[in-house]
Amino acid sequence: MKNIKDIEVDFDELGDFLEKNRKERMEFVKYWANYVKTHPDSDWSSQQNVVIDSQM
Amino acid sequence: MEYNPDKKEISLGRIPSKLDKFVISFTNILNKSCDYVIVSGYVSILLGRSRATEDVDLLIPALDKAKFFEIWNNLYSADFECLNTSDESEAFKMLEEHAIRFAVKGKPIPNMEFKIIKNDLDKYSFDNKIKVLIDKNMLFLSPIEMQISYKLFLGSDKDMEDAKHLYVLFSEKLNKEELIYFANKLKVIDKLETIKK
Repeated sequence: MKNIKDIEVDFDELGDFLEKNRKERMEFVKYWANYVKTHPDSDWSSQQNVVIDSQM
Repeated sequence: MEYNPDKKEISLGRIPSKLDKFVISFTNILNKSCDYVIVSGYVSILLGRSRATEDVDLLIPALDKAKFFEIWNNLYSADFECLNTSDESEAFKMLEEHAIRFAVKGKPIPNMEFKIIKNDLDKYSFDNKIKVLIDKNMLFLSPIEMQISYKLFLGSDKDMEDAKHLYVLFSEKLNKEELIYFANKLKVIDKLETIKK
């Protein structure tokens, strides 16, 4: 097993990951906004409430 | 969801979330004493954005001590409390400097961040607020074009996503001239281009 002091961090790789992750999230935001736009309010809100109500 | 930009009105048939019920109970009390406008993240959330939040930002016009005490008493009677202080005079003084927060007694999350209108952007949001009809209640939101631009200005990943949600949702009904005007004013025209993709 690698010693904790020997761990190397590739910031280029992490930077690429962050950018990719950001793009993927934005794609999902677009997908979901279109879902909200094209489905009945009761449909999307019952799904969204799972996310919101879980915090409460 | 039906948005009528001319009437500045949205009819929302959503199932109210617990957060919506919290906001409605707070604003129904506030509405007895003054007008208000909701700004920032909750605007996107109410309109479908799939994320949670711990606070809801709300702006009100400047008010005198007597009016503030009236609101304070009504909120306390309805089981809300101020998280900053339990002294209403101190809270009134704080409000001149910064936002104060109200929550259901003993439950700090979620909370309402209660702020006085300070600048032209706040004032524009208040003067041009949109009425949202939800579950036989009314909520008042900042105009969508302003919200998108302001979120782009804030600029975190979360804010950019909020802006994109509103842009995609209302793309056909947005006042593009107004959107570009605010985007220019807030120097975020390049960011506006990125959420259009």
